Amino acid sequence: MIYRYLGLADLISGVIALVVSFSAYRCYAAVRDKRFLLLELSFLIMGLGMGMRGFSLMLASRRTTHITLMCILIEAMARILSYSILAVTYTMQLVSLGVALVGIYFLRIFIIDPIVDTIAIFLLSYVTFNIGMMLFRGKSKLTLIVFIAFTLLTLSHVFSIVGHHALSLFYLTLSYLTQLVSFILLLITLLKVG
Amino acid sequence: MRKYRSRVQIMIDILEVIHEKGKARPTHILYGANLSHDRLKKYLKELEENGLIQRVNMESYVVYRLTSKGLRLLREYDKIKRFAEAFGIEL
Repeated sequence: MIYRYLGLADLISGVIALVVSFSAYRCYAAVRDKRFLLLELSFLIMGLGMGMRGFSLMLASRRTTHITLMCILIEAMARILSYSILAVTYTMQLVSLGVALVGIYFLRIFIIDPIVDTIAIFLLSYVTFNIGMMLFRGKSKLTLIVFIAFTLLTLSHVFSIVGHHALSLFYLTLSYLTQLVSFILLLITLLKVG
Repeated sequence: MRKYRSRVQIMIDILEVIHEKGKARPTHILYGANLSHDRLKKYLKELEENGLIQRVNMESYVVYRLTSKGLRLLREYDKIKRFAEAFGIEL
């Protein structure tokens, strides 16, 4: 039964991701800055993936197990693709060479265990680090909220790894909830932006 | 460290100068937006192509005025800037 609630959490996160994507698209349409386009594309893929996984979990039954598994697999690939696009977005405005070096350092640590969540953690750590640098420079409240959101999203993948390795439903649920909170924070940011 | 204006910020500066004056001659935009002649020409061309400003030929000179799209961008720019700032994108 719990997987239906996890599916609902996924679906809500997916819808918020699509709202972020639409906002980024509006920014791109106005100023034609490619970084907005990449941000839009990234959240679009993320949102569609999560929405699909959410639906499949909510409607899961013994007869649809293969569809649910396929959706989970597609979502995992979509997630990596979207995080990769996000990483490219922030690489386009590297704060310094040091940021790139830190990225390579993380890559060396995490590449030894190249499962989906680990790659996601690596990519998200890179993105979060970039946003953290911007926060350090700008000290904006909105950047702080987005920084916390991405930190929580990274944590959700850490909980997911723990949940899968320890076969713990608690950590798996925590992973979904952390992800949901991170997307709610992104929604709050959008509402504050107007 | 000296901070350079981005392409978007320069365009917004140009739109603001034109908006302040209603109709602006290239010389006024050049001083108002603090640009060289060559860069001004390049940006004016881009803004015109994107439908953000309109070139109006007067009898002996040229003026530029904002289109409704340009005015809308100027009004929405604050939101765009805040969105970009929130997501750590420097405009």
